[in-house]
Amino acid sequence: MTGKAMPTLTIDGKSISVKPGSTVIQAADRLGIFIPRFCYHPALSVVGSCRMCMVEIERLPKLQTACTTPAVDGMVVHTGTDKVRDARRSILEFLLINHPIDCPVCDKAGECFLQDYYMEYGLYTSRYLEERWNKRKVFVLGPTIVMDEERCVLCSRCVRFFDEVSGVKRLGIFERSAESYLSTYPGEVLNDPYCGNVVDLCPVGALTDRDFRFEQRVWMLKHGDAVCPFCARGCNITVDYNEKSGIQINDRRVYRFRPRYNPEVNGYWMCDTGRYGCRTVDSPERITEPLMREGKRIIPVVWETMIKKTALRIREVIDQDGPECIGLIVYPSVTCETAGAAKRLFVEHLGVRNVSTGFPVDPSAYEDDILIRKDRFPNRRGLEEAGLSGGRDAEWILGAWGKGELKLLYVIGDDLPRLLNKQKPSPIFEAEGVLILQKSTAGPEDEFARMILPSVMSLEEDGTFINFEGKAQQFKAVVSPFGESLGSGDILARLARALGLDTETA
Amino acid sequence: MEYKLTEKEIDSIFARYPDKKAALLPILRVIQTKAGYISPEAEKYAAELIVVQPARVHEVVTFYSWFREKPEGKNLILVCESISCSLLGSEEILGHLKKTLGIDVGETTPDKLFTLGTVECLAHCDASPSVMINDEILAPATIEAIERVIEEKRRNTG
Repeated sequence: MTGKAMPTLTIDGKSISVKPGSTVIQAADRLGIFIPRFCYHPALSVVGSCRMCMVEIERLPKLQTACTTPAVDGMVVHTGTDKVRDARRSILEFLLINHPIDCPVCDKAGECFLQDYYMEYGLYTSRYLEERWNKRKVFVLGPTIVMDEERCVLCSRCVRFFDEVSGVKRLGIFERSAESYLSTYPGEVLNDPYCGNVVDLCPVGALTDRDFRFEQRVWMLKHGDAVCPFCARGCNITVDYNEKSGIQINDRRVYRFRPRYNPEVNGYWMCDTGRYGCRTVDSPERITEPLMREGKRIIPVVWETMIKKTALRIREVIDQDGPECIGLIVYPSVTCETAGAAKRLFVEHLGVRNVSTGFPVDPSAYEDDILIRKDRFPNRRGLEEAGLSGGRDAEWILGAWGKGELKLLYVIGDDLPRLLNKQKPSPIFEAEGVLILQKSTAGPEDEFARMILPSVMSLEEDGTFINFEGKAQQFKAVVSPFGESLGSGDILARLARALGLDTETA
Repeated sequence: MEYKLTEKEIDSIFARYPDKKAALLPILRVIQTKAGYISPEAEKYAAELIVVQPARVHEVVTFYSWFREKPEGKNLILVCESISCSLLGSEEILGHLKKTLGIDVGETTPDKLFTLGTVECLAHCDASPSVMINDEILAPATIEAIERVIEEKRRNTG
């Protein structure tokens, strides 16, 4: 009769109506009341195995696990009573029986549920006198993940992630009770395009990331919101960086990408390609200063000279050969704003018609129905909507360029798939004309370039990407630009001024 | 050793459950009866039968101590180590077995006749100490009773 009614329950004196079928922990999360948990995760099936989320419910004689107990109309829940705190302390005492308590050398310290809960509810003085069991330490599960069996609390989040999200059972919990342990099937290596997520999911220091491990203490890191630039999905990410790492040119360094929850785009997850794409941000191949060719050498110059000389070259070609002798390639790695600025400057003001938005999507690229898209660029839709595509295809432009029909070729943006996969062949840019590259990272085409204008990567500027579904996602700069690199839009605006054009009012 | 099930065995097991996955335990029992243990190949075979990953089967095989992962003796002797059995002398019985058979817990006699193991409660606490020999319970177990069973097994299966 009241099957569809929204049950109203009270948690710690606050009442809330929830969807029928909701659990107590879901209701508490909506109220902003945090109930400690290990095994519960909103995107995974509920197993109720860790017993950490025990709460007191009036008229029920025993404590209940908040993750498995359905919210019922009129229910009165208490999450902070002495009885609840006692239960939490006991659970933690059990969990710590064989735990090595090696927080000082554990990579998870600072973002570890076990550590956080123990600080709040723990017993502090251990009553355990027996010898601890030793289990496997530094056990390599696969190319990206390493396991510490002694720290594992057997919450099975990682097991369920592979079963339920990535779709293949990669991990299992073997043996029983105190002897149970987490592992891949004997002899199998943990390899999956979504492996990295289990490190985020792991509530303790059992699964750590071989890339991030021991790079930084997590409390040294600052966090910024960004959009992953490595495929057309545009997963929302958190960028973990340190402004004063003391080891890089700019003193700032990006250490880690993690997925940021967005139900409309990526849920709680991201793929490993995007995750480890963070290595490209502070790669030694980043271009730190404007570069100009003099004879066989390429030498650094100041921005003022760079802009003046670039504008001069463009003006020369326009005056002598006309705008039909200029080609423009804009990779879909740039923001909508840069695409718009490029269109105003080259198409509307200079009358350039040979415009292409890079190269077609590789039909043989990997794609799945979870997150990963064949199109490894973040903003193909954005370039289409900016009105930049639909002109020439890149092959045509490179053909005309190779034959000498184009005197000047201006390339904006990075060949992102190639940054991630150095084996991928690069297009041939060799020709007689003036090649100008505006991009962030060195590549094989640089040897043919006359000028290289270092531009920022997407996390170093404000902008918008439009993903393959047409969702526009705005983002702000997270970290300062690498070296002397400038925002792509800024470079184009400086060029326009040097050319005597006012693109702001175009 | 042959571990595969016949078509008839497979059909009759599957017929008993609405979901193929539920047939895992009976399938593993048949495999163990046929081959004496469940090898990695047999795990993969069982996984294919019920359409799951081998890791799922391995979880189940390792969870139940009754499933054996390597070839063992023809007779399995399990001594209960739970509280009431311990109080009533299971340690003594275990010590005697180790001496008579010349093996430690988890080992198999060189003639492949006996494997010795320990186990938690066999649900015969009222007649402690209890020992399980293959499918039979000996409770209360005495050293004399065990001696008789061992002699009998030596005669019949040796």
